[in-house]
Amino acid sequence: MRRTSEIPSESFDHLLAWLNPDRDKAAALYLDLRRSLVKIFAWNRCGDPEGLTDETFDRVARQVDHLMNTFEGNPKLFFYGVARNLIKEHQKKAKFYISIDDVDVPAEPPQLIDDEDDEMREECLRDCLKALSRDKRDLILAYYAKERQPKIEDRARLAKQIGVSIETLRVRMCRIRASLEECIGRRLEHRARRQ
Amino acid sequence: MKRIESNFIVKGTRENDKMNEESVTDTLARRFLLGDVDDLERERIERLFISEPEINTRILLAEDDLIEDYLENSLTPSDRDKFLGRYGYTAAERQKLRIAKSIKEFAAAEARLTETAPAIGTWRTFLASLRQRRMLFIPIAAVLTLSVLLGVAWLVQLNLKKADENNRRLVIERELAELNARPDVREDPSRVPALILLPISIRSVGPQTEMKRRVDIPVVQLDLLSNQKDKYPSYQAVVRRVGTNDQFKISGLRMENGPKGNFIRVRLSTHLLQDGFYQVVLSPDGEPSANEEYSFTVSE
Repeated sequence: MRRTSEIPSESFDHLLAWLNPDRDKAAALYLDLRRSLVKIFAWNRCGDPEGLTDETFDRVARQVDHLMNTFEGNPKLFFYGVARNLIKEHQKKAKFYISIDDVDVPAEPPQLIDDEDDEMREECLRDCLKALSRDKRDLILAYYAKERQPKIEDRARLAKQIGVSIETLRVRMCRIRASLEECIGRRLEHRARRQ
Repeated sequence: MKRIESNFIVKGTRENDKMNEESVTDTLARRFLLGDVDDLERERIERLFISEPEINTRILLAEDDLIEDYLENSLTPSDRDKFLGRYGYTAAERQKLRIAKSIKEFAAAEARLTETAPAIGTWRTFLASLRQRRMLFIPIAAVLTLSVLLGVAWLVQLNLKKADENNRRLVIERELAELNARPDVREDPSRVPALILLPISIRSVGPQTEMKRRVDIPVVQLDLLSNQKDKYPSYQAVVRRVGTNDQFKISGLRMENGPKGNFIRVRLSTHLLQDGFYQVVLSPDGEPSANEEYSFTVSE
C-alpha cells in the first residue's frame, strides 16, 4: 500500500537533482526507478512493494546531501542497495513471525483469477482504452487479439504493417500495456475509495 | 545500516563495469522471473535491471511473455506452480494478472466482432444500392434492413455462444489433461479419494456406484477396472453426464496393474461434476470401437 512520503520537499528536490541535473530527465528517471523498485520488491515476495519503495526513497533522501558530495557511480545502484537491505529485513521479519507462531499453513494455491469485480475492471478498461489515441488503441487490441500460433503470425504481420521489427513492436506494446494497467489500477482504486 | 549500504554500493560500483559486460538472455530472464536462479545471480540480474535500460526492457518483455503463457495455459505444470508462487503472492501482482487477463479477453472479443464486420459491410452496400432506387422500394428496403440486422445480430450471438462453449470445453479438457498428467496428486490419497468402477458388461446387477460431492475434496479419482486382454500404449476416456451436453475427453491415460487387476486411473476436478448420472466410455487412443463402458452417479 502506498503511504504518504516522509521526504521533505527540499530533500526530494535534491534527490531529483542527484539523479539528473535536468529536472525533466530526473523526473522521468525517478518514475522509472520507482517502477523498477516496486517490481524488485514484488519479485522478492515482499507483501507491500509500494510501501517498501516509499521507504527506500525516504532512506535515501535522508542521506542525499551527503551522497551528492561523496558518492561516485550510478545513483540507481545506491537505491538498489537500500532496497536490498529492506528485502533482507522483510525476509527476516517474515521468518521470525513464522517461527513464533509455528503455524502449519496448508499449501493452498492462491486464488488468482476471480470473477468478482470483472465487470468493474472491464468498465475501467473501456474508459482507459478511450483515453488512448486511436492508433495506440487499435494497435494494442490487434496485438492481444490472438493466442498461441495464430498470435505469432498475427504479430509478425502487424509489425510488418506498421513498418517496425517484432522487437520494437513488443517494446511498444509493453509500454502501452503498462500505461493501460496503471490507468486501470488508478480507476479501480478510485472506485474502491468511493464505495 | 548506513555502513552496510555504503559497503554494498562500493562493491556494486567497483564491479559495475564487469557486470555490464555480462548479459541477460531471454532464457535467463525467464528463469530469473520463475525464481530458478541462486541468490548471487538474482542480485546480479536485479542490479542490471535497475541500472541498464536495455536489460530492464528485456526482463519486462520476458515477464510479459510469461504472463501471456500463463493466461494461455501454455506453461508446464512445474513452471505454472513456480509462476503462481511468485505472481500470485502479492495483491498488486494478482491485480496485474487480472488486468492482463481482461485486456486479452477484451481484445479477443473485439477481434471476433471485427471478423463479422465485413458481412455487415456487404449488406450495407446492398442496402445503399436499394436506397438509390424508387421511393416504392423504401418500405421493402426498411423491412429487409431490419431482417438482415436481426439475422446478423442472431448469427453473431450464435457464433459467440458457440465460441464460448467451445472455449469452455477446451479449458476444461486442458485442466483435466494437466490433472491427469501430474504425478504428485497421487501422493496424498486422503485428498484424492478413489472410486473403483467395473465395466457395465461384467458388473452384476446391483446398486449404482455413487459419489458424494464434498467441497473440501478438489479432486476425485476413478479407477476403471479393465477386462480387456490386449494392452494399448494409451487410452482415452469420455466422461458424459447423461441427458445433457456436458462431455469431456481425457487422452493419454495409461493402464496400470493393481491388486484387483488392470485398471486405468482417471482424475476429475469435483467442481466439474454436478448431480446426475454419468457415463464413462474408455477406449484405446485411436481405436474408439474397442471400448468399455462404466457409470456412476453424483449427488450432494
